[in-house]
Amino acid sequence: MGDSVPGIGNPPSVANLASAGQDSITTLEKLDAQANSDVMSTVPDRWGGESAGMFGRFWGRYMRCFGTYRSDTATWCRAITRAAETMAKAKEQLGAARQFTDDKGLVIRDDLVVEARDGNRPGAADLVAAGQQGVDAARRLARQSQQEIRDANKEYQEKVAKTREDMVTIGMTLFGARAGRRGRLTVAEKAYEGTVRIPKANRGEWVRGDPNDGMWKPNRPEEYGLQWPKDTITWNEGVPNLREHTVPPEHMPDGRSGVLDDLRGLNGKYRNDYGIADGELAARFGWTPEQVAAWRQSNDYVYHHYSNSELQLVPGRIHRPLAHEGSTTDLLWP
Amino acid sequence: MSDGFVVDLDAVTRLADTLAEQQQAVATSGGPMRQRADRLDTGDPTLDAETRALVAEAGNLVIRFADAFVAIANGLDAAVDSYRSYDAEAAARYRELTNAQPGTRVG
Repeated sequence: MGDSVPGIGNPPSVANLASAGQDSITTLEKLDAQANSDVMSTVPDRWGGESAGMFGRFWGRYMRCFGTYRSDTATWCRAITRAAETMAKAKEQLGAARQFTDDKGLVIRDDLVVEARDGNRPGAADLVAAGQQGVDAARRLARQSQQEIRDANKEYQEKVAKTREDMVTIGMTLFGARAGRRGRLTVAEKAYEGTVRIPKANRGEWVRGDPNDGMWKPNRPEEYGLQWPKDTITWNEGVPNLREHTVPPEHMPDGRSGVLDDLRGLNGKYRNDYGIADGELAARFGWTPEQVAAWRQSNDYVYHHYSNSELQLVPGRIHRPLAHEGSTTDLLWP
Repeated sequence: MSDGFVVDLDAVTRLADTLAEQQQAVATSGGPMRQRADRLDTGDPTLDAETRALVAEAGNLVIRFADAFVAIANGLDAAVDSYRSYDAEAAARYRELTNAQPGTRVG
């Protein structure tokens, strides 16, 4: 028989989960300490005044939230470790019961019911009862272990929900803020690349057609970095076509279009596709790809995936709001 | 300076860079936990699924923390930009004043 017993479970699989959780907490603690050290070495000695003071208070709130998450996760991991120990006892108990049944000419069925190999043997009923008692003791321990996991999950679920609420508040503060010139990409934005996003119904209206072939106008164009007369977004086959919003030729160092088509090797991965596009522009401009990347970042230009062979260079102020709607990013910021 | 007002723009930019660099490490820290959750066997498939969902939810929360690092870095970049643009604006005004009054020295 393998590690797993129906109804009893596999103790190492439970212990390994707790162990991985604890490792994750240890990693986060180190990163937290490093980040906090960097902040403390900058604020207030090299960045003072009111804005630094506000930042310091905000940072403290964020760190408390982060710390609470780690503490809650550590508590859950300890409970899961205890549950794994209980499950290991259940398995030990089942091993002893199995030894007993083997010795006494009994068998334990897959559904953990004990029966005699020879039911006519004298005293078989008593032996079956004794064997079943041992198996039931193992099953009770297994159930206790499962209940310990359920209890730990319930408590952790509530704490995660609370932290999630706090993070939504913090996120509203953070993501409502203007991005700097570098326009760094969040994980959500990176996940967005190459995915299809449909604006939520309350964010605007389809002035023509639908996402397959249409034009969408946001209720608040400015929130999407749009200005009249270019305050709509064209959609083709479920993907926003930002051609009319690409960086204009007069802002391109070679005076040509910001649409990069006939590209090969795009795979929807941020690093790969940005590398290809930067390389393409580097060849056009007579620059290095690193110079192109620096130019893009200093102007807050990003690439929009339009197809598997076309990227559109657009201002980040237009691309970013779209990135926070629909599909993949909804998993992260519902 | 008065009121504790001091700003070393390079130091703030370095801080922003550091926080942004940590994003990926924070975001991926929950990966092994998800992998272990996929192999979880408590003896109750429903409990396994419930636990996996919880681990995934916690993982998404970690990604939010990671995103916050970047958003904070973006905010710091924006603060640096503001300082620079106000400084350039002030310099431009002094330049105008200087040009308007030939022979007048400022500073």
